[in-house]
Amino acid sequence: MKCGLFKISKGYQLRLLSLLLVLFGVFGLGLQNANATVLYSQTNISTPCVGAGYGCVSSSLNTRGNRSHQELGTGLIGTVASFSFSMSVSSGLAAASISATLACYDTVSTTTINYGCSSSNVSIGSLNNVAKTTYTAVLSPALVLNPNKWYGIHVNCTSACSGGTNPNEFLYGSNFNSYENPTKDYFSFSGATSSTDVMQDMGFSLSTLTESPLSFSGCMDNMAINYNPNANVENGSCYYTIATSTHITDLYLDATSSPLTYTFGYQVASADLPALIYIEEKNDRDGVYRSGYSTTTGGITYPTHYLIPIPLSPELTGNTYLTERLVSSADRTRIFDQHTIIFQLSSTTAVQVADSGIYVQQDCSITNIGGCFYNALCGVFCPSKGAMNVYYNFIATIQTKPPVGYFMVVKNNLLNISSTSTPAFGLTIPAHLKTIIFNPFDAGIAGILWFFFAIHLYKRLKIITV
Amino acid sequence: MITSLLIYIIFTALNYLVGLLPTISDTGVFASSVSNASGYVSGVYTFLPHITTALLGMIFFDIVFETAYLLYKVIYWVIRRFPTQS
Repeated sequence: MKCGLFKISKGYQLRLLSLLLVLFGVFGLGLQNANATVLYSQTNISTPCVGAGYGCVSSSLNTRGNRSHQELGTGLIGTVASFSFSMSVSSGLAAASISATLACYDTVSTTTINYGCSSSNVSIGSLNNVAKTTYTAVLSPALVLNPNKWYGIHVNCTSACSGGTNPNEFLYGSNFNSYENPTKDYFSFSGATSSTDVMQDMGFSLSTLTESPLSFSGCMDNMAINYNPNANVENGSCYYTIATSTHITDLYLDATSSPLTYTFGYQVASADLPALIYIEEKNDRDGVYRSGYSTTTGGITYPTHYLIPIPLSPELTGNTYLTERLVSSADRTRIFDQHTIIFQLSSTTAVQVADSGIYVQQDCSITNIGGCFYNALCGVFCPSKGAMNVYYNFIATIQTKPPVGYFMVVKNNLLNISSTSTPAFGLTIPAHLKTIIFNPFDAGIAGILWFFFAIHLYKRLKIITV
Repeated sequence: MITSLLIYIIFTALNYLVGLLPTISDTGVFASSVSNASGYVSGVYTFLPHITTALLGMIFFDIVFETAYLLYKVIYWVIRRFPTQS
C-alpha cells in the first residue's frame, strides 16, 4: 500500500486501521462528552429584612404605592397641626354625621385596624348628596408623628349611615380591601343598601397635611427594591436584592409530555413583592427565541414551577440559556435579581428528536463502545442543523418562485375555502315544495351521477397501463 | 460533516439559481375568484346539497386521480432514460 511518499506494509495496514478505529472511537467519545456537559448555575440570594416596611418580605406586606391615591405610610416625620381632605357623597346616602381621624397603626395589616397610637378626631358633620367639598381638621394639640407607624385618614360614621350600624367606618390611605375599591375611587359603606350609597371623589394628598417640617424618611435610591418615591430623608434602609432565597430549582426534562417540556421552579417568599418575572430562552443557534413577562402584577407567588415547552427543533449541539429575571412591576428596567441556567438539551436521554438533521446521542462508555462509533459516524455523516437549515431555506424559496409558487397560491387559496362561505344568492323554497320535489330530485340525481361516475371510473381503470 | 458539506453545496447553488427567478406576488385575484365561486356553490348547496356534493366530489377525485397517474408516468419515463446494464 502506498500512502504518499511512504510505503506501508500489509502488517502495518491492520495496525493503522486499528489506530484509526480507536481514534474514531475517541472522536465519538469527545462528541459525547462535549454534549454531556451541563453547566448549572444557581445562586441563592439572601438579604436580611429591614424591619416592617415597604418591600420587606418578612412582614405582611401591603401593596401601598400601587393605589391610585397617595397614601401616607410609614416613615412620616414631623408634627401635624391640621389635615384636610375632600369628598362628595352620592344622593343615595342618608344623612349622616361622620368624623375623620388622622389614625395610625402599629402593624400593617390588610384585615384589622390596630389603634395602638394616639389619634385626633374632627367632626365633619352631616352629609347627604353634597358636592365635592374640602374639609379641614385642626389638630390641637398638634400630632407628633411616629415614623415607625402607619398613618391614614380614618372616617367614621357617628350616626346611622344608610341604615347601617355604627361604626360604619372606612379608611383612606391604608389598605382595607373590604371597604376600598381601588379601581373606582370611591368607598362603600358596609351598611349601604344601594350601589349608589357611596362616598366618592374622595381626595387627599400629602400637600394637604399641614405641618412643619413635613418629611418622609425612607430609601431614596431608585435602584433599590424598597425605593420610596415620597421619601425626602434618606434613612439608610435601602436594599437591593430580594430579601429571601430566590432561585431556580428542579430543572428537569419531562419526556412524557407532548410537546416535550423542561421545567424549572423558582422561589420567592413573599406573595406581595411588587415584581414581575421575566423569562428569556435562547440558544446558540437561534438567539432569543422566546421571552415574556408574567401577567401577575400584585407579586409573585412562592414556590411554583414553570413548564417551558421545548421548541419544535431543539438545539442539541449548543448551549441553551434559561434566564429568570425579577423586575419591578412599575419599572421593568429595574432588575431585582437575575439567574441564568446554561444547559444542553442533549445531556439527557429524555430528549427524543424526530427532526432530521439532529441525531440522538448514544451512550459512549467502555461498556458501550458501539455508541462511541455510532456517535463518530453520525458526526461525520449525519447532516448538521446548519445544513438542514440551508435545505429548509431552499424549500421556502422555491415555494415563492414559479412554477411551484403557482401551485402554492392555488393550494393556499383553496385551503381558505370553508363551509361557512356566504352564499352569493338566496333562494327561498316553500317547505312543501322542498319536501315533495327538491329533496327527492336532489337525492335521485346525485345517485345517478355517482352511478355514471363509477362506470366512468371502471372504464378509465381498464385502459390504464402501468 | 460530509453530508453537511454536500447539502451545503447543492442547496446553496440551487438556492442561488432559484433566487434568480421572479418572486410570485399573490394579488388576491385568485383568492377573490375562489371566494366568489364558493359563494355560488354555497348558494346552490342550500337547496341541492347532494348533487353539489356529488359533482364537487367527482371533480376533486378526478383531479387527484389523473394528477397521480400523470406523475407516475412522468417518473416512469424519467427512470427509463437512465442507462442500465444488460
